[in-house]
Amino acid sequence: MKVIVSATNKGGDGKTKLSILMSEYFSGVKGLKGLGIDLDPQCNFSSRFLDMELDPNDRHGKVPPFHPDYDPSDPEDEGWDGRSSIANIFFGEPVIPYPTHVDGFEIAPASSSKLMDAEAVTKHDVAEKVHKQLKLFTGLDELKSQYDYVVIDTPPAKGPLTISAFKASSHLLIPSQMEQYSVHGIYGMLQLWKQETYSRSSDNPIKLIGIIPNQCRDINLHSDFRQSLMETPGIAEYMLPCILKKRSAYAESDVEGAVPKTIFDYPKRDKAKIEATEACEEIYRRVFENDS
Amino acid sequence: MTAKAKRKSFAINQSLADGLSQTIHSANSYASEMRYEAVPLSKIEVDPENPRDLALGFTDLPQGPEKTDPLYGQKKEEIKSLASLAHSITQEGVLNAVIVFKHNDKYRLIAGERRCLASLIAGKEFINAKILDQRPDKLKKTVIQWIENIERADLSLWEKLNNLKSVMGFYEEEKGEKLNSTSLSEFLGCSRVQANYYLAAMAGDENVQDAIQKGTLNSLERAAYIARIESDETRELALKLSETVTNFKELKELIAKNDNFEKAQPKKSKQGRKPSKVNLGQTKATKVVETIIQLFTEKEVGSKYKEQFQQYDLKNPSDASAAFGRLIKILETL
Repeated sequence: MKVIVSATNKGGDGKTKLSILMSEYFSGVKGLKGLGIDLDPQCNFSSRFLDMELDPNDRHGKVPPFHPDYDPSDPEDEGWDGRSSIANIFFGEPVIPYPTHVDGFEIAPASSSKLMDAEAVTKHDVAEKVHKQLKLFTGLDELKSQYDYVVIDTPPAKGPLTISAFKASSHLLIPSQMEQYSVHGIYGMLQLWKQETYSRSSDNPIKLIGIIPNQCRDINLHSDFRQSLMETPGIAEYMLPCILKKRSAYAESDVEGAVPKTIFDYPKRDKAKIEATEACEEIYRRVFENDS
Repeated sequence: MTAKAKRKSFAINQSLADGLSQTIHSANSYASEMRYEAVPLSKIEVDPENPRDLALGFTDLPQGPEKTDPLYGQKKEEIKSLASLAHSITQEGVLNAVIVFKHNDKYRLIAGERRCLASLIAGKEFINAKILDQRPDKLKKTVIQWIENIERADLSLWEKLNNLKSVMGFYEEEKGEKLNSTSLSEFLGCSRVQANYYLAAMAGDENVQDAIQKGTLNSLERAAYIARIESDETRELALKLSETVTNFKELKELIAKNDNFEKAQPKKSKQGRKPSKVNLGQTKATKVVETIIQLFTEKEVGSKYKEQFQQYDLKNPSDASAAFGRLIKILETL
């Protein structure tokens, strides 16, 4: 089972967008069985697939809806509030993934306040209570037997939740705008990747899939920065050959009730579909086919 | 006519690009060697194949040795000697991870015994460790220990050079070839200049080795410089001056003055012969120098100088020139 984390230090660079595209492509197009994990208290990845509700404990936050399998009259569900989030793993509670509109793809959604509570532990406890937990979860036999891949969306920071995602992952994807602060964000994530690599044995690496230029416009800044990275020794091989341009199609597909729901159901010649397909196919090749 | 607007151009700052590149390189090259994590001190043990220089054991800490222990006095002294390291660990933690290899469910030490003992004195339960999955071979273990030791301020130059001799010995045993300055610098990851210093210091005569062992010559660069002095008298003077002159530049100036004084003395010449210089020609083929030196050192008269030439990479033109210069100096004294 491949565990792919989409991470960068800077918000708005496309972590969630790439998590969504990978999930919809690997399951919806390639037919793989996948699980999405949303570790970002913003809950955007979860909102793509579920009707998230307002968090009564945090007016800016969200909680997952009632689980479709929840039946308050069923004695087996006694003691359960009907909701389940990935944050449960940090509190010793079970996680029940939700089905989504994409065949073969389920999601363990975020819960804003619960994730923030999980991060609020002491320095002494963080390794045991947060860092190791997601790795234990993705190491479960029942998970590995059910899914071909897991995609983890992370918050834009190098905090305990992101570290937890790194420790659980086999692959790292770094989306980035081709701009100054975003490229600095790449550096931050590479440091985290290096640190995690140092703690792994050689037979259990966390592989860097690469850096994917995102939200690119036809301006010199973006093309020059991309070129600069592609000409830097050591980085060039990790720059994905495809880019994702800034297109309204991505924002449009995020709208509630949008038809079609996914970019991959757009007309064949749609530019967003073409470039998203190219990007996801490249990622698929690097993760599932060339993974030696 | 209007001026053409210049195209705006942008590039990533070079130091950021270098940082990105180096980070990827470090991660990729480290991944196959050791992993790095905090391990419980209770699971660390010494390697029985690694000779220890402390009597104090892990089982003696943190409570201290038993009064009935025949080595009680020595162990108490060792605890005192570790007090300052223990204090620093309490304040800052262990700055450099110890190095261990997995042995069943324990970890055996390759390097870092003092740090482990001091951590126990400091009351720590875990220590940062670089972990090899299995016992390294002799050469790898010696190189690891060398790399560890080279950073230690408390190790003398003598101890470092002896470590290096072990590394070089194991290298020759395993690879069947000696290390020269180029291969040594590549092997240890140091500069060629540094590698040359090590080789020169190790090739120094008895007096130089004696001074290094006694600690009167404790700087590598200084030891290499003095070891390379051709004239026996000047070298002896340099060793004496080195005991009192701490400034290296001043030392070199004093030595140079003495050398010039020697050179300024009229050379003794054989009756009836006038001194003359000989032009020995030039060649691009470094093999010529290699051959001449080989022929010389194979002879009985030249065999004792063989070690002096080992510091040179005779395939490198500048090294070959320096080696030939040395050969001439030696031949002039014969």
